[in-house]
Parts: sequence; C-alpha cells; structure tokens
Amino acid sequence: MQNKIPMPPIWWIKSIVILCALIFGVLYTLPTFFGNPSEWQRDSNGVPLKWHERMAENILPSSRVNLGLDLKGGLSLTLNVEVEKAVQDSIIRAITRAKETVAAENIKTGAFKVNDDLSATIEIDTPSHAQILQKRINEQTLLLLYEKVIGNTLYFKANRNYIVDFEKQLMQQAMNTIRNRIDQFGVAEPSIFQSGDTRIVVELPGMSDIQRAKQLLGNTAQLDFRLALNSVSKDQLPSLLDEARKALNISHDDTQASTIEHLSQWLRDKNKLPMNATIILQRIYGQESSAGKVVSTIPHLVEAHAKLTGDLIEDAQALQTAENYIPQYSVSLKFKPQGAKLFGELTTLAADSKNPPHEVAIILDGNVQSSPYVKAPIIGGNASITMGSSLNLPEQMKQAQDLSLVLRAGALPASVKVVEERQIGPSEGAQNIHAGIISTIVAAILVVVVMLLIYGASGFVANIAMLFNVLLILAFMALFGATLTLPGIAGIVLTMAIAVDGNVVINERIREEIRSGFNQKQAFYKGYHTSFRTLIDAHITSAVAGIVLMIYGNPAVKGFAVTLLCGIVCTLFTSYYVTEVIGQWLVERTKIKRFG
Amino acid sequence: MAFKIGNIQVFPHNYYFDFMKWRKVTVGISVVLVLLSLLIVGIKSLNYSIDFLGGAEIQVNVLNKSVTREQLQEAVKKEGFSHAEVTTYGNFVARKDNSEAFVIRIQSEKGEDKNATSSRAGVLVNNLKTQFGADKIRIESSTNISGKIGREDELKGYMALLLSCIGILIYIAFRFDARFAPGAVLCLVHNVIIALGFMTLLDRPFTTTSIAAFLTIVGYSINDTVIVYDRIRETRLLQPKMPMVEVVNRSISQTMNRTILTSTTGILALLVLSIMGGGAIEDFAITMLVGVIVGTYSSIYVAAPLTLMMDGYFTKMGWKQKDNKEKAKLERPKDYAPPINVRKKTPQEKR
Repeated sequence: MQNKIPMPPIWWIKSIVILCALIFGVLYTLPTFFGNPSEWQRDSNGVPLKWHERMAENILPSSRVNLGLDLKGGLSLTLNVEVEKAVQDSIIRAITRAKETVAAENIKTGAFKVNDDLSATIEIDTPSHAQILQKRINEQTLLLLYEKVIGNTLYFKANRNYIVDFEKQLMQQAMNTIRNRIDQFGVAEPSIFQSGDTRIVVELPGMSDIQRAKQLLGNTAQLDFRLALNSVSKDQLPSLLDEARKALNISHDDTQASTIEHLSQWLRDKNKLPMNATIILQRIYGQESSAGKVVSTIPHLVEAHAKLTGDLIEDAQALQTAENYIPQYSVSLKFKPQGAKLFGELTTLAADSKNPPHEVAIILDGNVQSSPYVKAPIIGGNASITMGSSLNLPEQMKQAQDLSLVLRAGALPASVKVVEERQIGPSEGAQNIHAGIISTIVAAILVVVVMLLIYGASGFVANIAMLFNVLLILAFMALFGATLTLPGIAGIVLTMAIAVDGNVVINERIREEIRSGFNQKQAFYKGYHTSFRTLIDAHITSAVAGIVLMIYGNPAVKGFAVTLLCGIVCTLFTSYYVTEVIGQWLVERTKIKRFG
Repeated sequence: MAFKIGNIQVFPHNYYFDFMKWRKVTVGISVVLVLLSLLIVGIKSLNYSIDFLGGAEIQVNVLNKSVTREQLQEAVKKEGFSHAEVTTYGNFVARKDNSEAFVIRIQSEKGEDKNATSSRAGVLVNNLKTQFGADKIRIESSTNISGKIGREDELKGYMALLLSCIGILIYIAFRFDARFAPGAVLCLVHNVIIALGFMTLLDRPFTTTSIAAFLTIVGYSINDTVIVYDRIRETRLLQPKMPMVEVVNRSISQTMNRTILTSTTGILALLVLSIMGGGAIEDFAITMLVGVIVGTYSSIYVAAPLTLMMDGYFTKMGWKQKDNKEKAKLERPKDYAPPINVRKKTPQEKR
C-alpha cells in the first residue's frame, strides 16, 4: 500500500508560525543577557558605546527576566499593613466627631465601643435620638454603618463593601508611600509589589544595611498628636502598669507599643483608667556608651484616639537648633490647611487653664517622641519635634533626617510591620547562580545524549524542540516581567527533562506503526495523528489543575500556576507542532532512513 | 533485535508482561506505604520551616574549615536559644571558594514577640562576627519571618489542592469514563502522601518551595497516569471483547518504553539538581525525586488496578460496558492496521 502524501501547503504556514515564535523567543530573551542598561558605558549624548548595546536599545523590548534576590544578593522585606486597625480607627474617629456634633444639638450620648469585627455600640439617652446620631455618623464616615436600636443601646455594623474599598484604598496609599520612601534610597531597580491582601513585598538588590531599611520602611510609620490628660497622676502610672503586667502575666520587657496598648485596655476594662485615655511610653535612650539602647521609659497618659495624624503634614525639615546653648536636632513641620486648623484646636485645648498638664504628646509609632508644654495656642500651622536630647549628636542628626524624610515622603495611612526580612550576600547570590547554570547545563546535556542515543534523528529533532521550549519559557517570563529564582531554575531544568516526554510518546507511536506494517511516511503521519489525542489529554488534565490553582490559590501558588500553564502551552507547541514540521520536512524531502 | 545507536528499544516491543498479576501485592504495598507515611507525619509531624512557624535563619559560611559545627553550636547555645539547630547546607559539592555552609535555624519561642526573636538573631549575628572574625566566617544570608505569614495562606492552599483534584476527577470522568477517574485522583493523593512521609522521615524542612514541589508532583503524576489511561482507553475501543485485565496489561506493556524513558530523563535531571544545585534547589529536587519515582510506580500499580477494580464493580452493578463495535468502526481509520500481535517471546527470540 503506497500512500503518497504530497507536502501539504499548510506546511509553509506552519513554518512561518514557528519562525515567528522563534523571533519572539529570541527578541524577548536577548535583553536578559545584555545586562543592566544603566551600567552600560555611554558617550556624552547618552548613546551606548558598544554597537550591540546601541542595537539592543533601539530594537529589543525593554522587558527582561529579573533575577531574584537569591541570585543577585540584596534585601527583601515583607511589610504587613495593619488595615483592620486603620479601619477601626476611622470608625472611632467618625463616631467621636458625630458625638461632638450631636452634643452641640443637646443630645447626650454615653460611652461607645468598637469591636474587633468592626461593629460598634453606643449608649444614647432616648431611642428617638438614634436617628439623628445615625445620620451624623453616616455624614462623618465613608464606612456606612447600619444601625439597630435595642433599648438605650445603638448597634452599628459597617458596610462590608465600603470596608473592602477602603482597605484597597489604604493598600494603594501605603504602596505609594513606600515607593516614595524607596526612591530616597537610590537603589537600582527596586521592586515593590503587593502579595496577599495586606502585605507589601519590597526587594532592594544590592542593599545591605538592613537596620536602616527597616527603619525607613517599616518602623517610622505613624505620627500623631494627642492631648495629655491628667485624670490619673503621672506618678501612679508605673505602678498601674506593673499591676496590669502582673495580672496579664507579661514580663517587664514590653517596649512594644502593642503590649502597652494591651495593658491599657486591661486597665480601662477594670475602670482604673478613664475610657477615653490610654498609656503611651516615652523611651529614653542611653548616652554615648550604650547609644541606641533604651535605658528607661516614662509613661504618659494621653487621649485614646488621635485627632491629628501625620497625613496632614505638608513639609518637614531637619534642623540643628540650640537649647540652653546645647546643640540639638529637631524636625520642623508645616501642616496642610486642615492640619493647621486641627493643630490650632489641639493647642488651644492644651493651653486651656482647665487642663493642667498643658502638654501635647507627639507620638511616633506608638511611642511618645516628645511632649512639649504648650503655653499659648499655635495657629500658624508650624510645629517642631525635638529629638531625644540624651542621644549623641550624630545619632540625633540621623534620626532627625530619617524622620523628616519619612514625613516628607508621606506618612503611611496605617501602621506597617515588618513580618519577614531576608538578606542575601552578593557572593552567595553569585554562588547560587553559578550552581544553577552548571546544573542546568549538565542536566540538558544528559537529556540530549539520552534522546540521541535512543531515537537518533528524531531524538535530535526532539532536542531542538526542547531547547526551543526553554527559550520560549524564558521569553514569556520576560514578557510578564517575572522573576527568576533558584527554585525557578530547578523548575526549568525539570521542564526540560519532562518536555521530551511528548516526543517520546510520538516516537514510540511511530515505531509501533512501522512495526504493524506501514512505511516510514505513513507511520510518521499516523504516529503524529494518533498521539495528538494522548498529548492533549495529558496536558489538559495538568492544565485543569493549573487553572483551579490560579483561581483559588494564594499568591505563591498563583505564580506557580501561571508558570505551569505557560509551560504547558510552550511544551505542546514545541514537542508536537515544531517537531512535526521539522520531521515532515525530513521525511518528505530528505532520504532519511528512519524517523522515530 | 538490532541494538544500534539511535534505535534502542528499552523494553521489548512485543513483550507481554502480566503486570496485573501482582496487583494485590502492590495495592497492599501502596496501602501500607500510605498508612506508614500518614503515621510518620502524624508522629513526627511535618518539619515546618520558619516560613510557616516564624523565626530566624542565618546562613554562615565557614572559610577553609576553620570553624567546626560543634563550635558554632556552642556559640549559638551561649546566646540562650533553646529551639536552635545548626545544619550543613548544600554540601554535596564543594563550594567555589572552598567554604563550608551552615544554617542556623532559630524558631520563635512560644509566646515570644516576633520582633524579639528578630533582634536576638541580630545580636547572635554580631556576636558570631566578633567571636570568630571576618577571616574565618562570613554571614551569607539572614532571614527573619513572623509566623503569621504562612498560616494565613495555608488553608487557601489546601482548598486549591482539593478543588484541583475535583477538577481532574470531572475532566477524566467526562473525557474517559467514570471508572477511570477515581484511580487517577487516588493515585495523586497516594503520591503526595508518600512524598510527604518521605520528607518527614528524612527530616527535610517543609518550606514554601516544598509547596511548589508538591504541586509539580501533582502535575507530573497526572500526566503520567493519563498517558497510561489513554492507551487503555484505545485498546479497549479496538478490542471490545478482550477481558479488562488483559487490556490493562497490554496497554502498560505497550507504554512501558515511554514510561522508562521519561522517568529516566526526569530522574537524571533531578539527580543532577540535587547534587549540584545546592541549598534551596536541593530541597526541591529531593522532594521531586521521590515524587517522580512514586508517580511512575503509581501510574502502573495504583491507577491501573483501581481502574480494574472500578470496572469489576461497575460490571457487578450491571453497568455494562457499551458495545463499542460501532464506535470503534467509526474511530478506526480506513487504513487501519490490526494491532501488533501480542505474544510471549518465542524461544528463538530469547536467544
């Protein structure tokens, strides 16, 4: 049975498709190997000196495969934005303001409480006033609250959709702020991306000063101004804190702001502190010998919720001043109009003769930075924060500069916490990339040799397809701006080994067809035809898993799923389509004796 | 048979091997292995890395072997860490600069503030530097993680895994036959559990990279299983009268060449990775190695016997296999050649 199949015209179309894919692959892979454009030598016009770099800049796409930090060394910080707390604070602020406005309308309201699930309860004098209070609260907040009256208590529940929107907005704001702050580092190619609902990952290649990075990005986050209170005398505060520590079984090592808040909450619950007050510590740093270490803390009793926050600051500058002829550093602030108004109100309250401490606490990240006496209201919208006087001068200068930088770059809308920090030395990165490249090459050679030994000519075609596959995967990674990490290299090596599977299936099939009596050409076409279904089924089942993972998985799993799906498409294309076209040419136009 | 280079047949093409003869034994072995793995995981519990538990990890490179592991251990102990371990890292192949790598893992103490662990780790790093000096050790990397980070995503990951199993189940039931689907999914579960057990047994840390490795195992084993299934489906269509056991045996025999080759290339590549890749790659490669070996075994000895079992069950229930004659005729191309003669080796061939 001689069944002559002429070279079908579709062969040319297929060849062109493959050629296009090849060009795409090469174009998008090349920039990765050209190095960092910012490191190229350029002449006075900014044109690169070397011809291939000139060409690269004009022709090649700019997207490249980024090397992960484990390959080039550097610093990676994961910051968690405490969104929930910020939403809660916003509700508290709204209710406080609403209470003040209804108080002006002669409606009395009692204590209020905001729970962890963002519901709130407010006591009112008569149920009939609930409507007005509800209206005022809705006026004051973006988070619409749904109310329900039971007796004299008003129950609120925040609107879920609004909270979700608000959280997204907070995250966006936090991302922008962090981006601004990173710009101040002058790091080449930093990357900032959101991971999960509330986390931001910051990668700083080549950066090694982890402490400074953490201070600028994570720690110095929230500035607020609060009125100092006098309902409990200052001398009693330490003993009250000790009592709470004992009751809650917390050791004395509690410089953390959250721990103090926890203690204050306990004291409030036991009615030892008024409901509207909280304790915040001021840290006193040691002298030169133990610079940077906290030697003692002074508790301050302040309002529980801030009226004025750092986002209302227009500008901040570090200044050297002298107090009593002792040189000192401070940060001078200029408020935005709204901030200036609030600051005016705050200082008017502080300077009020009925409020004896006359202090305004300037709180940075839950720690009192300073608490200056206010003798008269400050209305101009300018203020200054003095650095701790006990620090040595260079330390003060650094702190003042960092603080002014952070305030200028924009305060974070919610406090952020460093939840993960990774630091990889540059030599370790070089070692990793070396090991990665060597193992890739060795594995590739092994696979190539095995395929050549077993399948000869068709093994050779399969090897070409495998290398083409790696090229395409790298090109897609560059297109999506993906990051290549050490495990990523391992994934590519494994893909190389498994990508030949498709060709093994096809070649085995061709051999079977030859054995059952077909000639080479017929067997070739039949082999490709029948194994197509096998390959499609095998790849689609993997793809089903990939698609589900992409929809439901966490960020890390999602990234994996995208790579998997990309790999499946590339593998199908190269191991079936490309080898078929090359094989067809070999079978039809050359005198090859055996294919498969 | 000609064993010429470029035309090597790994498994004789016309050899009929009665794979299913051993199915009761192998299913038994698999059940025992799965139970054993579950027991190991249950007793030892997964060796969660600091990715999940929170804590610090410091990689220290010792230059020219001037500091031993014991010395490092002592230095760490002196700092008063009770949950710290010092392990060698990626030590199969000598590093370029003739250094030796150690990893100090510090788990957060229960109830301890995460920031406290991080600052204590910082103190440790400084002390190590001053104690041994820069000419002896180099701090290569340090990681601090608060435990919250992984926990949050864990449940979501499990959900995704479960849902993808269901997705695969549905796809196979539609595309193949209902009697194929449970085998494929149980095969997946079997592979993942055994790989988990192995990892726990070897005290390999369970990191975020391990999750990627497990997902790759899922992808690999489903691929492997489907290719065997595809051949069973085809043989069943072409030989409707053949008993199911024989169909399965023949199909596995026919795909044996492919199975051997693919797993060989896979295992070779993974061996290279685990020997030369070092560090983070080593974890990935060793987990995958177990996955590929178990996956290859299970596509033959777990998926196929389960399909047989399901087939027997379906037949008992009266769900007869549809008469495939008509469909087979449609499927068969006009120039259909009869399937290769199935026979045992003749004495002449054995020579």
